[in-house]
Amino acid sequence: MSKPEFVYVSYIRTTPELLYRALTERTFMERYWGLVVESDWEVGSAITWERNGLRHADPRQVVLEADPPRRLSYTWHAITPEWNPSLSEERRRLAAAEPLSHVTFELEAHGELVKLTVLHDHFEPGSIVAQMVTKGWPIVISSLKTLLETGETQPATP
Amino acid sequence: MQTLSVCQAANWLLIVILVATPAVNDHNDRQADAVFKALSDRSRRLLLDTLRERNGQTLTQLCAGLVMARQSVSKHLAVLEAASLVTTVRRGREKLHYLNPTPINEIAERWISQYDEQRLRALSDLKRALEGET
Repeated sequence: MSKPEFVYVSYIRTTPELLYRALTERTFMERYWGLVVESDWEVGSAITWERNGLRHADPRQVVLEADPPRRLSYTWHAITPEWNPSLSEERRRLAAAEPLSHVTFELEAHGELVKLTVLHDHFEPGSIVAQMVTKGWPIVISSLKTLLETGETQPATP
Repeated sequence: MQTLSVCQAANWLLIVILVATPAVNDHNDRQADAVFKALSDRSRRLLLDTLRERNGQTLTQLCAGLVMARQSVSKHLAVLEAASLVTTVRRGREKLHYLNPTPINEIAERWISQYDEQRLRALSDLKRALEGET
């Protein structure tokens, strides 16, 4: 087994079921992430990323594991000029040549809290994508926690 | 009449405080206590720096890079783990230690709005540039 590059943990006052929904449903993701990772969440199914009306598909973007509400794993998105416009051309070329990394979510009930573990791995040594994601995850996880705990911006049940 | 309205106001304030302090803040405050306690020690901050430079180290690897007794490192790691600032993953027989910055971000978000955050980031970038780090 490869060694994960990053492991992030947060304890959230919610249920594993609701947290799993937050990881897989558009209405939640739009609120805490500002983008949508879209799929039918069956193992092997394709994933489309969507942000500000821009849709980003790639045959390598797939669901690796899905065991609701305990575990979800998928490949990260491919790097393109449209999806990553702020990257310099040189860094984008190198990042786009990297194999897609994997992100895994583990959900574990701890009394009234759920321990969420986010593991990001399968990076090449010196990976540019690894540098990109490390800054983002703590912000996304805090935002997800705030949404689920305060409920202030929580979307109505569809 | 005036006294009554002061009483009413005090009652309202109490109700507002009780409603606005749901149980949800309880575990977050307990975590904040643990985070501040863990960060109040120089050796523990040094351990976090070491993990920031190289994430996912075993206890033996961490000890090799520090002038600290193995027992002290182990004790400090336990405090950091209790505060969720360090998280561990088992890989075969090895226990790997990872820096988990999420609780610090959660504390920051509690007092720093998105707008201020951008300004503060610009300030800390400036500070880093002036001090010659990257």
